[in-house]
Amino acid sequence: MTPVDLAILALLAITALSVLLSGAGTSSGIRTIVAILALWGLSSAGVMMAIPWKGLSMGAMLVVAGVATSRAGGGEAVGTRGIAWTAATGIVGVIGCAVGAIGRGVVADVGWLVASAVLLPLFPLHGVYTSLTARLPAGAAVMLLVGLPALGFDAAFAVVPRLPPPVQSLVTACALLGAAYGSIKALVQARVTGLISYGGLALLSILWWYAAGGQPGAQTAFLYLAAATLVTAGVRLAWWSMETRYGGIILGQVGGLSRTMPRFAFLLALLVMAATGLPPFGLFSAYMQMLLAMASAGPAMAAAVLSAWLLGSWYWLSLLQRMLFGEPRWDVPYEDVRGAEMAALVVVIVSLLVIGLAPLFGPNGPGSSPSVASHQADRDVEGRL
Amino acid sequence: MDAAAFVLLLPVAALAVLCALSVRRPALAVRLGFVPIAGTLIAALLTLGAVAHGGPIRLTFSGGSVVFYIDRLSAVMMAMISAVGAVVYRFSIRYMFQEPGYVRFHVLLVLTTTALLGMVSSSNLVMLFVFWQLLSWFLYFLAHHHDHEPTLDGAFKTFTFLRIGDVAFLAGIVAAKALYGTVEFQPLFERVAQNPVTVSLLPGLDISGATAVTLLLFVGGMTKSAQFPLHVWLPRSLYAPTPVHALLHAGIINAGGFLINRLAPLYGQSPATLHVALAVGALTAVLAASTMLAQNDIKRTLGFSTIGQMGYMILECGLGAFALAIFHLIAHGLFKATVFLYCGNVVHKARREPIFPHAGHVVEYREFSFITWSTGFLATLILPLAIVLAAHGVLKIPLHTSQGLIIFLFFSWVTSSQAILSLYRLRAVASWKVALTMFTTLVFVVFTYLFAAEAFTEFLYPAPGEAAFYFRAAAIPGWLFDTLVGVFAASILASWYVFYAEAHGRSIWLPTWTGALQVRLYMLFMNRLYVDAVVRRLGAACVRVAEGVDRRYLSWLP
Repeated sequence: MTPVDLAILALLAITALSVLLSGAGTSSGIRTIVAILALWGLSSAGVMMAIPWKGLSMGAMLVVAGVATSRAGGGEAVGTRGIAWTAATGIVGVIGCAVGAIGRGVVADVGWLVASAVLLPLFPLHGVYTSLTARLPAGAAVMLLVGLPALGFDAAFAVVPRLPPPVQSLVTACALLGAAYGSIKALVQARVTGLISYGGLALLSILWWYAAGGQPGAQTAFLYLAAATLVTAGVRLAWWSMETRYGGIILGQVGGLSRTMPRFAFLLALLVMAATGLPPFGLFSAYMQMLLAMASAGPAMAAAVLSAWLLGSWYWLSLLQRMLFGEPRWDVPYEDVRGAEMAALVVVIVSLLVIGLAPLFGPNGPGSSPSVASHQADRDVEGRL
Repeated sequence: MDAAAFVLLLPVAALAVLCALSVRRPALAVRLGFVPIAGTLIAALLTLGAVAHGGPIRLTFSGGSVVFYIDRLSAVMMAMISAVGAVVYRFSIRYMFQEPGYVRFHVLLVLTTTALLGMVSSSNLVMLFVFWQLLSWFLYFLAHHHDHEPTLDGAFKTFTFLRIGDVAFLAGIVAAKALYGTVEFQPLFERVAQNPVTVSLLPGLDISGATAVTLLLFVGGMTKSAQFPLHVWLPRSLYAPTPVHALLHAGIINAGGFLINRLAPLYGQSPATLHVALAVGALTAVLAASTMLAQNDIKRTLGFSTIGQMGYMILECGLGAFALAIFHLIAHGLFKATVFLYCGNVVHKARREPIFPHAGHVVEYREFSFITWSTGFLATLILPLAIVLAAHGVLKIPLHTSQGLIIFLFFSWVTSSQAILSLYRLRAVASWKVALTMFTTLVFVVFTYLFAAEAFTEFLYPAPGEAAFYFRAAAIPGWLFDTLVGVFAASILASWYVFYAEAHGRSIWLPTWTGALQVRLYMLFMNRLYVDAVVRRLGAACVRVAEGVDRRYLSWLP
């Protein structure tokens, strides 16, 4: 177990805690709690296991997720062809796990790459991630928003540096396409669950870009992973509170919450602040570290990544604007978030804050580049993987 | 503990007071919150004194990870920001009383002031960017205070536009890191000066690394300082409460001018960027001033006045007069904060007195006074020339090498002429008092520029030859400067001719098509050059394109 593995386990534990708290606040049934604990256990076991056993956990996660999706409702966010594509990518992911576990050399690496690309979403193998997180009930969706990428992270950062340069270039291209695709899809979503899923895809695609850039920085990458997954999980948790009160509403159906639900509005504003990449939250600091480390990647790539960031500001802010401001509807009852729901969101926000402020208390202050020692430490982590 | 630390920590104390008492005693919380805010102003003034006499201060937090660097520029800006912040806060205590979100509003005011103070004392680009972004975010919430549609739309547009600038700023940071390997101010300045780097944009199109970095950062500054065409957010945010405008127009909008000054050694290495700044500033100043004249809403008029002044400030930076830009932004900030805080009274008064001007108002008979007219003519056209000749011939100042002096003389001429022409329009009566006021204006402006602004330049850039280096870096071709002087001289001459002809009942011959052109131009400027409409359509088109792409090409994907 490396420090990064331990940190991923902590991330999963924080997510599970938040989901359980939120579930308690929304009076969820025992089935939800069991499902959350099962997903937590499965993803944590996957993180703890060594290759090739990790593949077993990854494959199991994909199978469970696939079964759950086929039984879940709320298919508006993903069309029929989308479901077929999702199923196909899920199967490809399972095959990738098998190839990775059985194969040798480059073949095994490509197998792991495919499997991790399904979990840590990489265009065009992102279907499992977007479908699951958009279609599953909130508790499971939140667990998967963090669990799937966390499970794919290890393998991705272990395998990508070993791949031949043309494959790395392909990963870079897919990552940039994924960032653009996720941003466009998020921009046109009327359903908040869809916006969160595609927003998450855009955010995590940037992680793939970083991985394929050959930068030694598993710690930096982990900080980004934690921040990106927690942000999406936090917004999904917040939306769960809305779903509990108003059912499957779409964006803009209930507005003016800054007046009617001030506690919820405050917490959502902080979450969106984090999602748009603003300081002092984790996404900003991790994103800055990644960008500065990748400064030599070239202006075109930097422009693509920055464009995704700009579009992200647009759709996350649009979500906030339409929910918090404007005239409230007086024909619907309003009830602000309860203690447990609030605690769940506070846990996520505090975690994001800790991730954001962590670099200030580490050896590298703001603006300074990671030291040679920390690069070496990152290399050691990757070498072990 | 250093007084400078209190400048940064006392606003936090104000926030603590506001949050602690917000639920049970909101009014008391807001009143008590003013104590640390006033303390911030005192600490900032003490810091200014300490820095002026003892040199820059470095404040270190969290074991050296967070460093604030306070030099003379930072100290001056801190004093200005804390002064405006304190006045605006004090004003808001009564102005916003009984408004919904009373405490929240004051919390946001304090947060904005804190972000401004942090921004001006940052020690590296990343830190500056942190506070730069936070300003955008706090402004978004401050602009949202009222829940009506144009306010909400304006606040959204404000953040979106400022975000464009943020992205350009971030790209500038990445470029600085890529080209020079650091984002710390002092090492960056040294490396830029020692290692000229070239960036190839396209085959055959190379620019210096300093130009690439400064241009990107300048776009960031353009959005915050509302430079054309990225000024759209400012008039749209005018539905926000009046104290927000006072703080915005006196503090936040100065960020562009501050940025160029903070990075002066970097901008000094890039004449190309300075020339771009000159062009952008001049265009903004002219267009915003013209638009201002055609507005029929007091806040919008003031808004475009600010944009014009910001254009003027950026133009000064483009000419290498960095310290003059700071001098200008301080003067403008104090003036505009006062005007905005008072404009509510004007609107209120106008509402209470629907017949405006009131019935007893006597229209003053305007007669032509040769003494007044000729004094104005003399003070705006003949005396400036005499001053230049005296400086060159009598005082033996080599004007062809003293670019700083020439720039200062040029601005003092433009400013005093504008003031004298305005005075003549307001009080064109035969009076020695008016004539004397014109002379006093000229003397005051010239002395302000030549002594106060010069002394301020020495204060901000005390290193020998530093200010002169920036003037040299920004030097424009002689023919361009001569053309500018010629255009201004012709404009002033034309103005006096128009006044003279109107007073004598003579009509000024103009081609007939100019009448139609005048109407069209008026419509164009009244509609703010239709830039708002273009931006609105552009935003809608972006969403339509995204929807179209999604429907046609992406629907088969999950």
